[in-house]
Amino acid sequence: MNKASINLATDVTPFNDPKSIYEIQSEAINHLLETAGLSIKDVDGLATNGVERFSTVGMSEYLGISPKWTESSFLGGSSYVTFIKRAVQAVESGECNIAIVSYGSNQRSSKSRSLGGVIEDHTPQKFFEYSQGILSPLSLYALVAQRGFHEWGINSADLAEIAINARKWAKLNKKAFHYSSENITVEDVINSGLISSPLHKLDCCLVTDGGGAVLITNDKIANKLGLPKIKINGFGQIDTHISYSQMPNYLITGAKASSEEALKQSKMNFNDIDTLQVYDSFTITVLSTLASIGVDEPKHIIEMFRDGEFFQGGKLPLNTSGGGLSYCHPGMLGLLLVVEAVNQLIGNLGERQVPDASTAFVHGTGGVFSTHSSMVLERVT
Amino acid sequence: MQLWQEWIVEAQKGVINVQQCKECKYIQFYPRDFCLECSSKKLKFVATDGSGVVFSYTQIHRSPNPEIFIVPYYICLVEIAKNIMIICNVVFKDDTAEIGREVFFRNISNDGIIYYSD
Repeated sequence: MNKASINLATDVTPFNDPKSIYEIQSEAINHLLETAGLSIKDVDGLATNGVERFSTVGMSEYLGISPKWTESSFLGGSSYVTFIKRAVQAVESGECNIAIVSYGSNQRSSKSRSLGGVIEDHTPQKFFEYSQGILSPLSLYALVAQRGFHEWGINSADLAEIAINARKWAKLNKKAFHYSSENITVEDVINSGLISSPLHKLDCCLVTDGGGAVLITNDKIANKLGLPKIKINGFGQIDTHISYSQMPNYLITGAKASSEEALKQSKMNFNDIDTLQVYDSFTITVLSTLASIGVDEPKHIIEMFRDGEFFQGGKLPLNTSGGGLSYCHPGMLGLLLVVEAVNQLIGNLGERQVPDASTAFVHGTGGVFSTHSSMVLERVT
Repeated sequence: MQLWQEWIVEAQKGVINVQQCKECKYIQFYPRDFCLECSSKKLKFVATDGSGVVFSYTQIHRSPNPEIFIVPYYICLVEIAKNIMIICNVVFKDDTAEIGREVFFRNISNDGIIYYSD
């Protein structure tokens, strides 16, 4: 078996310069290849989705390549955490040698996002749920938050701490949507207007264009080119439901099972992790995920936010790009969680660089807490 | 008739059903062509008494379709049998929602909107 690693990662945040999905991906991919000393013609593996019905085929045609390995499963926001694992497996098995995982969306400039969500007429969700006037996926997260208030004894001011932390990070990231914005307060979040109670506008992620790409090669190529090598030490994935009525546990999600598997494989716990990149579609997504993966009890997690434990200098620097809440949320954030983790481990992030970061935990969430992919990454020399 | 359509027709007659396995007695919702517990294909609709308990709620302030849904309105997860949830509109008498409150099925609209109230 070959040895494979993640070598480079980059993001594109074209907030002031609308581009097509193909251009966003191409810009990220070509930048990576140029940095690595490779050509587009060297790429023989590609994972992407959300481009068109034939996503990898259409993207390959645009790039002028005919990859031997492709992957395009649809798992919503967690897709790209899974794709990274699949790409590493493909390179290890020899199905391909130089794989790209890329994503792009222009949902903001093309106004393609709908508050009611994507409705498919033949599904059980359409029969039993979408006719009810829900905002999807927002309302499911709101229902989880309200139940969390009831069972965990937390409130809107507590959730606001998560948005405040994200904004602080975004102000250290020149590519972030809110880089030049002011810091926010609990009052700002609560006064930003309810959309689906108890979630306010500032409890919700951005709707932006954006994308990125990640390069995965075998170690022979990486060594020859002098590229950084980041290994997947552990990986776990699970999906639990897609209808609101079928969620097995409304507070502790599938993230529990996927993270346990990833941490078990890596023989690590959160004391060994230097930075966390956790899906933040909404403030409640972060709280429920941190509780589900076993960081701590919800009330104590909120205390940790207040004490700065998830900011620079804290125990677990979290979503150091500013996350979906304040950096960029192009419909699916999964790839950008990996991009941030990889660049933290490469160590090139300036003001927001976590000093000496060598391990990262990434968690992707898709759908309505439906799909979960957890990954432990480690820089090797 | 397709199972899900059958469920909706029953609701239009005023009955909220769950599905029960004739062999192992397992109760499930939404309806499927086999029992999730024992895989039997022998299933039947069983009527609930129309009551349920609010498990969680959200008040919607931005309408996905302003012609049909006038904000604000409440969407709830209502537990209609042990561990069986339904998602529906709930009209609260004092316009205040509460987890744990008992609510009752009222009707289903032509658009498929399920209404409960307290």
